[in-house]
Amino acid sequence: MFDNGGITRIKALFDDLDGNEELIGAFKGNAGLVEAWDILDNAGTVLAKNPDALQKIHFLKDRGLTEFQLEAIGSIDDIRAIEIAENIAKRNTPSVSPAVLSELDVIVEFAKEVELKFNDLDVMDDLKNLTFDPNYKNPNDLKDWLKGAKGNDSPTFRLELDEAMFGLSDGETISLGKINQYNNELDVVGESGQWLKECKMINSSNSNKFKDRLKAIGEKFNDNAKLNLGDRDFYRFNGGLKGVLKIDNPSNPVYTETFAQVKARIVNIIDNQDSAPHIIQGLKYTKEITVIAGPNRFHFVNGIHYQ
Amino acid sequence: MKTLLENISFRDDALVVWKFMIPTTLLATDSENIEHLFENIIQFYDDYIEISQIHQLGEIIPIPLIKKNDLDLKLIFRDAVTKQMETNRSLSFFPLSNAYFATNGKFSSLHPSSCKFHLQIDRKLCNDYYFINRDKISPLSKYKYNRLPYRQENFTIWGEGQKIDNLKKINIEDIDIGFSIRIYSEFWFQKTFYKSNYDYKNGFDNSFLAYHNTPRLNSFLRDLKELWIDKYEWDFLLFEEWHDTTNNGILLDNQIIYQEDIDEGRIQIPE
Repeated sequence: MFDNGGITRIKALFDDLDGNEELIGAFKGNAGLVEAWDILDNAGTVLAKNPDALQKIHFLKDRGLTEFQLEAIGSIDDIRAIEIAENIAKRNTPSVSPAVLSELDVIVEFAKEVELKFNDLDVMDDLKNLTFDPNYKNPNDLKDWLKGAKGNDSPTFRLELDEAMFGLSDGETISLGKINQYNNELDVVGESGQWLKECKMINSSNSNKFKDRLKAIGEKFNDNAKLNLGDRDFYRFNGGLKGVLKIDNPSNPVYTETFAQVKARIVNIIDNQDSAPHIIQGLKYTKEITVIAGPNRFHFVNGIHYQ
Repeated sequence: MKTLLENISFRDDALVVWKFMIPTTLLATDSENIEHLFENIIQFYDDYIEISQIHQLGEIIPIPLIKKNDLDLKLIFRDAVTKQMETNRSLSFFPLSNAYFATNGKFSSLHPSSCKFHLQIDRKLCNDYYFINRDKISPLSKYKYNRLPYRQENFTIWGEGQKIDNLKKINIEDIDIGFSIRIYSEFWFQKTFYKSNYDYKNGFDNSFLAYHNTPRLNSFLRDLKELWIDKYEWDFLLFEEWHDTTNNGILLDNQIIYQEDIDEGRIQIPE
């Protein structure tokens, strides 16, 4: 490994080892770690001096990741990027495909980009937890989901991630950003409970956006192009179709409304058969609608609060 | 290189929404005003049918579609909508329509890249079915539009309406009467973005498809806007915008190009 400029590299390694007892201890009898150090040092990250990071890079190399990939992961300069890659590579049920392994560097780069784009959100922490959770079902779709999050101007992904974490904490087996065989995007799926959640975010101060986004949920649940009717009925007649709306703009009137006020809005929209009837029908297929506004999380149940 | 249709994607939420709304100031509930609005909405459908057929976008097509008899689409639609609005005592746009492709393959290949309204006639309400010769209601185009696969459904219209009795009960700001045109697909844009990691600026060149189709959309919007604003004096706004989008349509090479610009040779479609 040190065939070119070998002396310089060895010097650099000794510089890193200088006084770092933990690192010296880790290196003893473990040639693979030296290789990992070389990769991280080339990546120009201080993680080259972090025994944990070296162990993980060593593991990833054993899993077949190339030095180029590992250097790319290291150069993100964030231990969580390495941890996310490790979590994904360690998954067994289902085990990750070779295609995912060959794109692990891209996945964690996307994750970091998403975090940087929405820097007030701890995306990397949540992704670390998500990929570690054995109930998280579809790491194979993670790249596409992150790609969407990266390019999306509104952080709907954050709501999807929250809802996924929410389901996981409930012991549910979760798929996030699942793409079905018809190329429909299923925001959050409870695989064991057989439910589907469609998530919409409202960033605008305009109260009409609430109506618009709620209807978009109705459209999703009653438009074969957006959700294949076979899948729609599967979820509808099992765990249920669920809509989640989050308002994160305090200037939006709905943000501060009470349960009764939000309920009245939903009922008004669903009762108005003069407005986009096929969309209203889609809303009638929902089992429940959740509205998150500020500290409130309101659940509206079909048959009790609306119908 | 021309973009392949397989590379065109769409998403669940509209990229662009152009809203055609009746101003809330006109929704005062004196009966004369409401009567006037009612008549205007009925009248609007005649104009709409004409424009949508010229541009082959958002067309109203009765179902079932049987090539048997010629009927006057304007007449039957006006009749059906009037009955519907009278029965419901409402002011509404496209109350009978279903703004997405039918799963029936017969419809999906007729006029690609335009979502058609399927006028769903309620048997109980209208007590009969309408049959129409589809060829008569839609003029044949000089252009051969690229066939858009069913999965790339990309253009919908949401009708909005309200019962007249509710106008007094609901907060005036929450009343929407009108319709919105919604674009879900990158089909209409000069650059695709889904396959380029959502990086629009560096997206793949989709000029060929966009030049063949977007001018028609821009002309459709222009004619609808003229009608809506100049003839009926209602409100128009761009509700949600995406890259290269304006109130007047979607930009191609930084300008709004209309179908007439193509037809009359002022603009050449890129090879």
